[in-house]
Amino acid sequence: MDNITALSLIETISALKAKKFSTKELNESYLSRIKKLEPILNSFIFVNEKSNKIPLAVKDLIAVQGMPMTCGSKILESYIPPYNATVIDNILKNNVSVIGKTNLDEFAMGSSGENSAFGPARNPWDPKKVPGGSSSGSAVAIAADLAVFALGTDTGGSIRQPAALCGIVGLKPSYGRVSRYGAQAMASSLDQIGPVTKTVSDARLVLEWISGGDNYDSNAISEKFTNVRAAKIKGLRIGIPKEYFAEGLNPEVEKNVRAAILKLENLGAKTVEINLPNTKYAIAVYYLIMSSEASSNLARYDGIRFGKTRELFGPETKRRIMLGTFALSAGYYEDYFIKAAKVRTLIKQDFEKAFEKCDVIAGPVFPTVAWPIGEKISDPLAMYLMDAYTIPASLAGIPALSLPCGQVGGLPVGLQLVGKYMDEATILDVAEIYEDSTNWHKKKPKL
Amino acid sequence: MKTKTTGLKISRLAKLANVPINSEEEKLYESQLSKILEYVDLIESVNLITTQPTYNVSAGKNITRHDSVSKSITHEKALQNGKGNEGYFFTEGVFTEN
Repeated sequence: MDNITALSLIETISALKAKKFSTKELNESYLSRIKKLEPILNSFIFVNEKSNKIPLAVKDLIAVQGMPMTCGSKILESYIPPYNATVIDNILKNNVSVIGKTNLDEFAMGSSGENSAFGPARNPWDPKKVPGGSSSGSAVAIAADLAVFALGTDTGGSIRQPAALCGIVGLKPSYGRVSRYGAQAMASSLDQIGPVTKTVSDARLVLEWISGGDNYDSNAISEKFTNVRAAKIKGLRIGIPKEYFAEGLNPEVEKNVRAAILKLENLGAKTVEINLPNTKYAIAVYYLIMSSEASSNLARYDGIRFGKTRELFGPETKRRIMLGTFALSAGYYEDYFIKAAKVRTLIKQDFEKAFEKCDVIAGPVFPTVAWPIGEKISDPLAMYLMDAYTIPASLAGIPALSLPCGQVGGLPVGLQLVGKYMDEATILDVAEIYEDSTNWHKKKPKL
Repeated sequence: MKTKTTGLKISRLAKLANVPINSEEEKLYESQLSKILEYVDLIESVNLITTQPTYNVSAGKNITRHDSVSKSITHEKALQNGKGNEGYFFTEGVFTEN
């Protein structure tokens, strides 16, 4: 069968059932494609040549027993987890094997993929450009058809951003939808593991597989996500936040996102302008809370039970640990950490009020399309400001999805759909209806 | 709210955070972190008199489990990534003189 590697997860499952090809042929095709393209794309840190079921690519800070887990860092260059993350145990029950561990910003700290200790992954649409981060390798692997589907993690946008820049689907579930056990913790009140896939229906299936509680993540709800597509868009209210279409958004990106929203209106949805007035504080709040939590979570790297010593942290990691330590230190704790946590309440309340007037919120994912590797790396603050549209949903713990909705100069643009807490069903439904009426998800980079 | 310049001694902060840095890095991080702190001072202007902090956005409360022994990983697996042998992790002495 031609083009096995272009198939989505659902198409692959169906083709295997119909015996159009075997899992052996499936893995041979993907492994040969990986061998051919990896020298250009650098999306994998470790490749498993023994993969023998439906190939899954896993962000290299999610534990897969017996496979290296570097977290993109020199500190963990030779670390091998002795256990599986809960999501891996869940996913392996479905005729899936892990084909490799994907490249990422070190300890998930970054929005471009450039903070990896193993060199940046490269955008398959233009390998001189960034793929987005921090789940850079997972997004590249899916966009370039190097795996059937992938897992990433999203703390402030790290699934949605690379999905947008690479032209694929990425979903950050509601906080508590998926167990975080086995994923290296970055910011424990924000982290979520989620699907990085070729289509929205794939993302829906993967969410079903990975969702649900365990005895380890006490913030994960016990029920699994189950959802049959409801396919009702007529009369659905889409909130358009004016704060997400203000200064800083590239006009061509805006054009594509607005065209996508118009498409949803043509399909039967209604739009309503909403206000999220505390959006302007979101980046400041996030970088204070996330750094504080991360400084605590990375204290475990003492070189005793695992890993090498702390001078080997990369610059972004050192910056964030110090920022977080400062925000938590005596004399500064009330003014920084606690104050940020109070403003977080206001941001969460903004969404609660907005969802009285609408069912989903739509907007951009990133203010621009992919930019040249190295262009923004010397200005950390400029990089932080790129997270403006993805951070608020993370702070509120609500689900958010990115799907391809256009291109600017041959580079993908993502549409972000944000839903109510634990309402992944509605955003998946809307996304799937949009996807069914458009062809952006069928476009592939020329490689 | 204390400003960015008070208390931001990078050498002290690096020691507190246990993040070893050299003098070149000290200068670079001083300028980068000052800029970042200047930015996050944005939240100083927010009126928060009656607002409660949000530390956890999940719906759960008081999650407990039965107090019973359950299976864990083996001794060998627990030690496999550390330095040392004879069934122990080796570490720097705590009471030895430097």
